[in-house]
Amino acid sequence: MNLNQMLEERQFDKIWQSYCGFLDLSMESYMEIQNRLMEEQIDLWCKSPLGKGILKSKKPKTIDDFRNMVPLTTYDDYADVLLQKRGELLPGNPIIWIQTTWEGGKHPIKVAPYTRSMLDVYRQNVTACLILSTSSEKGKFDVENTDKFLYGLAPLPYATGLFPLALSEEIEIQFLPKVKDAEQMTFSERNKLGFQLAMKNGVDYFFGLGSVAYAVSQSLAQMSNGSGGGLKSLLKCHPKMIFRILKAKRAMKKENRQLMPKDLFKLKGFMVAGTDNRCYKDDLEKLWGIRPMELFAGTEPSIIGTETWTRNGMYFFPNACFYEFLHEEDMLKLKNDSNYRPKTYLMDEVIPGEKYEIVLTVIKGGAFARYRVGDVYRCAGLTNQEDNTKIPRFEYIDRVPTIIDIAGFTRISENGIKDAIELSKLPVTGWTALKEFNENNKPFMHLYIELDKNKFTENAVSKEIIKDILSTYFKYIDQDYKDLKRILGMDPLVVTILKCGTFEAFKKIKDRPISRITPPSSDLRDLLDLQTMQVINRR
Amino acid sequence: MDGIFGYISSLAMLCYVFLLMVFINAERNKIVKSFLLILVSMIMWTGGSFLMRLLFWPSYVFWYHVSLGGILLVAYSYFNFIAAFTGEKVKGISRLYLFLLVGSFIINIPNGILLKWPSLVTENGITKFIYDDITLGVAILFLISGTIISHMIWLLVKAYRKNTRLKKRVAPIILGILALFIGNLALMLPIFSGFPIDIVAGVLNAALLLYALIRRHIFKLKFMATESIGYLFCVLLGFPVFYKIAPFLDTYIVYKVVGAQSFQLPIYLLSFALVVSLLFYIWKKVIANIFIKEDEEINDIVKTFSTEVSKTLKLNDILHKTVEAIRQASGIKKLVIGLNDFNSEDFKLRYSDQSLADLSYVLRKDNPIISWLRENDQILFLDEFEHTVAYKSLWEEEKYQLSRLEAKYCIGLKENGKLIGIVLFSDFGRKTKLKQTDLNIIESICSVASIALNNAHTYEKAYLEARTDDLTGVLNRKYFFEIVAEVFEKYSKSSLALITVNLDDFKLYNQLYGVKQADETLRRIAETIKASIGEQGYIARYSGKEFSILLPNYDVYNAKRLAESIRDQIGEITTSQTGDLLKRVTVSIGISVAPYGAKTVRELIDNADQAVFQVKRKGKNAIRVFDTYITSDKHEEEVDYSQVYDDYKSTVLSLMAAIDAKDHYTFNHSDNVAKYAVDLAKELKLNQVTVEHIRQAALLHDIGKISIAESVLNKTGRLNNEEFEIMKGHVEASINIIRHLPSLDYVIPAVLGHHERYDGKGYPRRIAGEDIPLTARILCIADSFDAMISVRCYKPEMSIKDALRIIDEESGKQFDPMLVHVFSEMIMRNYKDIINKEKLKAV
Repeated sequence: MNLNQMLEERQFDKIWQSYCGFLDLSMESYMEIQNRLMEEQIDLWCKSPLGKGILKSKKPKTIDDFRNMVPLTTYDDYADVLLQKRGELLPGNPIIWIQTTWEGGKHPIKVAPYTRSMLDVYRQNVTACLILSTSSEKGKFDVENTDKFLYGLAPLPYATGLFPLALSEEIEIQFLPKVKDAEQMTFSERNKLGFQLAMKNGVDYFFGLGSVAYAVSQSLAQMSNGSGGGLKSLLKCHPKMIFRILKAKRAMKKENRQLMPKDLFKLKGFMVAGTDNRCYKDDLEKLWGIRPMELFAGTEPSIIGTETWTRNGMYFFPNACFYEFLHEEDMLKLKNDSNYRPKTYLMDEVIPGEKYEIVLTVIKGGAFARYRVGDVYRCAGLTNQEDNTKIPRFEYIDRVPTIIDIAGFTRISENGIKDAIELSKLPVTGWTALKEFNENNKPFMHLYIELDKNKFTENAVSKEIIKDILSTYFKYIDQDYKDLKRILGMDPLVVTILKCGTFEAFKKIKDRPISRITPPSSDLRDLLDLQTMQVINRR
Repeated sequence: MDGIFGYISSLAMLCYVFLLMVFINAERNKIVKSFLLILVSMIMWTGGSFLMRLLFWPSYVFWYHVSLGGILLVAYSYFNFIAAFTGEKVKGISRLYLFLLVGSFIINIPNGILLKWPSLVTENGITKFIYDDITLGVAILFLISGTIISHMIWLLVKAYRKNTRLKKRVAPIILGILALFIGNLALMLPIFSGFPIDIVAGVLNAALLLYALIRRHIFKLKFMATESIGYLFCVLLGFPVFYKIAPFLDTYIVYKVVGAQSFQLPIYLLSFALVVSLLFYIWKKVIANIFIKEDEEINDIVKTFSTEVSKTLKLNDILHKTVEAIRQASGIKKLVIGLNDFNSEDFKLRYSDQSLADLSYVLRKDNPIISWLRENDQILFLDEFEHTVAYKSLWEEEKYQLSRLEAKYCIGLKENGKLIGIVLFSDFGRKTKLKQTDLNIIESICSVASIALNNAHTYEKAYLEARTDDLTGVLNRKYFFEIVAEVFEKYSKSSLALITVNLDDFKLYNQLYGVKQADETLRRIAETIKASIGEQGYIARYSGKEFSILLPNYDVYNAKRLAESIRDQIGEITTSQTGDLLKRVTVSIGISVAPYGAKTVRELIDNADQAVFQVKRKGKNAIRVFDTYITSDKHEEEVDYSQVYDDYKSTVLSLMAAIDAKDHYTFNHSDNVAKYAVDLAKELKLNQVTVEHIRQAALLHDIGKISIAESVLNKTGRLNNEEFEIMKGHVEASINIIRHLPSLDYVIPAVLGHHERYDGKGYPRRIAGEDIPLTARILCIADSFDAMISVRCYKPEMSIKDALRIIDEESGKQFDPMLVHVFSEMIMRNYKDIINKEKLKAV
């Protein structure tokens, strides 16, 4: 019985229990589910040629054996099998291959297989998100099968494209525009049509990347002016919408402000995914009149976590992946020493307040085992009186330090920056880059560079020129970077030129070079301090 | 027409009252409550109207008001029913409607201000009701009712739009409303003049509502036929029936029989009582009997089952009877019973009513279904279970297996709160779904079965425990003797083979890999043998490292072929479950076959033992058939040892070269020790294999010295305590090197024991006498002898004569006295010339 049927039967308790019941689990019961499903996965994975290859003929019997025998993996460990889509070598038969860009990888894209069982779990969990996004307290929600969904994410073959497909197996929800039509449209066409349809008939849910939702919301005024301006188009609208448009226009005039989505739409549920959501959540709440619920999904692990009605930390679904946590200190050690074998912690071993990189084993026949998906979380607490939960909840921090993720849109690696600088032929002798936030709390990439002092006479090297040149090459090597400007209107690069000799001086004083990507803040401070020191000038 | 009106009205009333009585017993929810209200309003409407026409006491005006109240209440109750059915919340507005309706009803009572009651007119002897005072006030009633009905229709439309699947469910209700509406409109048609078409429509409407409720599974039908309802219904039905009989009583009895008139009342009462009794008899026969008869039959089934299962301790009998009882009582087919496994605590399917059912499914002890059944005593509805969090931990394979079983329900068999088994079943075989009554009966049967199964299960467990080996699960030695005696009796005249499989060097295997791995290997060997013999024979663990296989109807040829196959399979166990490399297990197999080689059970067993012994004596790893007449080795499969040793020669040489590079003395010393040890072994007439073992052990006995610092190894002075401890460590170091060469592990006992002393004061294990392996004792004497006669950095060479003297002095202390004697004689003989030269030199 799917959600549609249960809604028709008005079995609301059953619906809650079925999809959101995991929130009532005790830590012990949560781990029982984790361990049991992991045992199944170990069996499947170890029998598969992919698993055998990584295990090198070892045969783990228990979860502890598995954790001891299988090293932490990255996409490189799977690339040969997965990029060729060799389903016969995998633990489960892939039904669909989901694609994403491979930041700093040896191939422009990476693909991840989804088995039917994984999709079933995914379907249940996205439905749980849908329900939770409308919930006001435990067991209370407001989902109807006539609801309308404005969907602001990319279609297949990206992971986000699975969302409407999976949801349509559960409920006859109406997507604006229809999923099939949307697949043929560009991002802005989709949004435009989506909003036009929403203006006519209303909308109940909105789901997008936090940054995209913010950009789209801000441009709503223009879009609504285009569609709701004339009497003719007004007549096409639902009477309820006509009333709202008129009311909104009055409010705009009275408060002397632009049109906000909340003037037109009364959302039941608002979901955001991706990184940097915390920069956008407050603004989005102001714009839509409802605080967005954050959820975490990825290409490799599918959907793994969601917030609840309190919007105060994410809970991981017990049946999507087997979770291990790599402590922040170990993560940094591993960054400098790839041979380091760190200890990982399980869900019942995390400590509140500590930051962890998540390590996932995708269950239900998934390919990835002890996989470093590259995201860092902070454990926000082990229980929550507000939600009345007894399982740990987490707050998304950022990508791992080896990646600079801007607004969940593009992921820039050390290699990516190196390539851009090399292609630009700029006389850069030293550089380091990190993500920072501007005065509006919006993210950008700050690139600190040092130029060859002997080349000043040969090159035009003003800050603006360097920024423009590097931006051009970032756009050249990274399509997503291009989209940042195109879709979000963001210019994510800030360049600071350092005094010549700064990097060398740092190396001399510290006896090591500064990390090129996401250096520790103390190192950056020291680097900037060095500029004022005489040591550089004396060189 | 009045007659028809009377019949139809009575019938309608009966229908309503019957439904009301039935539904009063129902579990009350919003829908049922609102349906009850509809019935009450219909009873008021129809009953009021009927009694008004009969001019019943107290007055027709009173019944007019009852009827009007009913009509008004119909609109309200319908509205509530639709709201409950579609799940809409209408609490506030519903109260408003009730207030308006009750208000207008009360206002109307004194003067009929809104709708005046009709006048009673008699024309040509026929009494008629004429509504002659209809005012505009009636519009208020129409307005209120119309608003309520419009709201009700809006609710329906809304529900219809939201939920397309609701269409089918709402359809009977809409038809009912239509019927009611058309029925009332039809009153205006002349054809229905005097015919209560509105009442017929009302009955039809009630029937349609009932159908809608049944389709939505709002109530269970079981509670309907209770005996008290039966009595009440019959009494109520008795009134109209008696009403129709009364004129006949008057005509044919009261006025015809002389004197009957004075007994008119008793006659009436008696007749009424008879009518009611008759009706109740029919009720019992026709309706109640259906349930009661069924109940009796079911009670019989449970009773018989209970008696039968209490008489047996045979597990399969009980399982069979349980399945049969459930089948008979509920009519279902396809059910399967799983029982708790003694060892693993998992639940293995043991019995099904389908002879070709796949019973390979095992519900692990941590299966969420099992956990649920442990914690709950009710029936588990598997489709409901799918919506619980616990279901999320079910494996895909488990889901698949469960779907193959097509099970919809699962009951736990519990005894003293402990889950001992499970019953899985579905509706298969029935035309309708299982009702609660059926499930109750199945539960009753299962609770009886639980006790019986637990007893049988405990008995079977005790029975098996007494007969099986804990570790391997095969028969134990004690029970095997019983079986051998039994089977010998039966098959000794035709053919009966006994194969004894003895594992070679298993003590060493234990030392190398530990007891846990050795036990695991024993289990795997037992599994291998079990799989090889299937149902054709018996297998027992005869001793720690020995298995016996009893094979009825097997002759020598077949037994030997089977033994070969088993030996080859055991040889393939070369990796642990975690993938580590293991030493190949070899076996010495002895075969004895009756009647050819044994005439008694004792002979059969002894001869197989003898054959094993012969294999062991000849160097292990072979199969031998005991033959009392043929003493040659024609059945023996000799192992090509030279081939085995050649394979590892290079390893030994590499290790020797390594020690030579570090300490040339040790290299030469090892070579010399090998020579003396081999000579001594040959002197002792040891077999070729043992001699070869000793030679290799001698070459490798000091290999551990690689790990000792040269400063200690070549120290010119006496070793201090600390250094001596380091030096002693070379034995362990040697073992640590050799144990990584599984194929050379046979030298370990000799190497490990070559510093042990016969008096138990040696190292590392301080074992004494015969506990020290012979090979080690040989090595010890050869090692000491060479050490004494060689030049070392800390001592000059000793003469052979002196060395032999010291060896002689240490006889029984450091050395085995028996070996000292043989060794001394051998040296004296073999090195006569050298000894003589030494003598001359001394002179």
